Amino acid sequence: MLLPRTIRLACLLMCTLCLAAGYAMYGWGLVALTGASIGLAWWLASSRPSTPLPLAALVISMAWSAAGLLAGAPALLMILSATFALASWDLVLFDHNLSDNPISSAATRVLFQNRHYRSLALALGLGLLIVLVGRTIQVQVPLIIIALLVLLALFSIDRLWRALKA
Amino acid sequence: MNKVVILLVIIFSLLLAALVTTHADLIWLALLCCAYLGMGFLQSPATRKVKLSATRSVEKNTTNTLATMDVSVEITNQGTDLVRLVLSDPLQFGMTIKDGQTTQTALVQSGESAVFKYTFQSERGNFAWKTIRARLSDSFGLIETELDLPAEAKIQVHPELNKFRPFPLRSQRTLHSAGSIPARFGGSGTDFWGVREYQPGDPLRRLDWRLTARHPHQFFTKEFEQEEIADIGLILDARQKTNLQLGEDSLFEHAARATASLAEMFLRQGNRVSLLVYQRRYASVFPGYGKLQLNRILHTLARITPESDSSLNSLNFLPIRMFASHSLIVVISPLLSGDWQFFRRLRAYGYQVLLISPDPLAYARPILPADRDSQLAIRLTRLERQTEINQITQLWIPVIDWQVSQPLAPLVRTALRPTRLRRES
Repeated sequence: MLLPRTIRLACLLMCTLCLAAGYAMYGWGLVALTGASIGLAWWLASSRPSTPLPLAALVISMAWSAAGLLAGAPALLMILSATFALASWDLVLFDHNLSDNPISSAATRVLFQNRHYRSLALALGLGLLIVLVGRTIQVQVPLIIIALLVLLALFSIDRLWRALKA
Repeated sequence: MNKVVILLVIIFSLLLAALVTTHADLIWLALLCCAYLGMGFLQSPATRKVKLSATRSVEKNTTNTLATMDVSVEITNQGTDLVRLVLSDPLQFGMTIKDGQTTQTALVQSGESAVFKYTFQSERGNFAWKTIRARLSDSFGLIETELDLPAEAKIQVHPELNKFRPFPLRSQRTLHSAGSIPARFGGSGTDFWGVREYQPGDPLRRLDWRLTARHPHQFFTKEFEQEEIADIGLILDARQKTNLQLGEDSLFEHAARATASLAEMFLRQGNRVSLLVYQRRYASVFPGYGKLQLNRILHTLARITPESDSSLNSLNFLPIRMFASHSLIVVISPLLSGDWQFFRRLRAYGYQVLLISPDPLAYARPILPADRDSQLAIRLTRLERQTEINQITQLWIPVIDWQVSQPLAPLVRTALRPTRLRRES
């Protein structure tokens, strides 16, 4: 029980710290506000994981990160904060699912947890890597092409969704 | 809310915000969510690779309404990968869970088994399971696949039995097997029957020495009343018109319980018992003895539900000739108007009859309105019922106007007193 809790708390802490550090250039008041709101949201989400509070905490974290990016805060810190928010959301729900005492041996449970942590690290690490590479390689894309790409993404997701439902 | 939907909403919101504000950095946030979503899709279990088997076992094949029943389903993973399953086995109508859960998460490694257990209590009836539902998902819980694994089992829930103490019966006709019912002729029973002249072969211990002393050169033998078994038929009225449902309880359930209890008691006494249930398709159990017969009767009672049909207006068309002539017929019916004619028919065929009539008015009292009109209607209904009962009583049939909250055994004992059912010459 100690490892999952440590990992979850570390993610929550990192999320809050990155966001607070990103907003530090705008004054301590804003740092305190972001820190307090994010901390409170995730504390409530952790204590009541079966409610929509984890989703609310994720949305608040993402909104702060997006607002920071729009306001010109350090992009890397904002992206890191969003990454940890996503990880926290996943871990809160994962721990809640495992707290239902699934029918399994202790070894299987540990194996399943480890596999989940590996997958999460892989997914978010890959995402971060793509973002960092993407930000390093600067390509000017016209707005119209972005719009077309969005339409393409929409179409792809729709097809994917239908295939999954079928 | 589904995690995929949540992530898609966040992704599209971020993309929209990026388009509106023309700020490309927001797209990077959306990309993170896409990476998470993509990993979930990649890890979703392929249905064709998942090999699961399920075996269901129930504690017993038959039970009664008071007993609890354990169900366990063993899921074995014959595939190669560890799977996370959400197993659900919805309760059927009439079942209530007593212990455990009907939905349970399980983590099953390749070659391992997980056992899913719960305990339930059920109403009377036949119940069958065919499958168990398993929901497979990736480790992020994004993509879920539902599988119905075959796991068959059947159980039968009999009506609850109240063990009655044996009643002293006086049957018009008995069968020539030793039992507990006085047969009205001399034999090897326990009650004194009479004295007759000694015949060679009579056991000496039966000699009436006092009478022999009074009559020199003559011997007399004491006779005891032979005790034999009787033929008993039970008729249960399963017409919907005569049934009343109050929440989970119903008047018919009380009637079914009474039938089962009487059948058990009569069979325990060694009698030959048969059953006829009046519904759209008659359910019948032909005369028989012993525990096997009791099982047959309980099996029939377990699957009976009250039915409504226009052809079920009168008891008059019951095939009563399935009962042996002069047998004792116990009818369990709340009665409808005009049913007394059926009892006249029974008496005309020479049957000895007992009517147990669960009182619908007393049963429905808690829900009956107290206004003046309703009270008048209740009085009229009671009068109508009383008239019906009086007409049946005039046929020399003992009637038990049974308020189902009262214990039945003392009422039946009083009604079956030998003086009431004396042999008609």
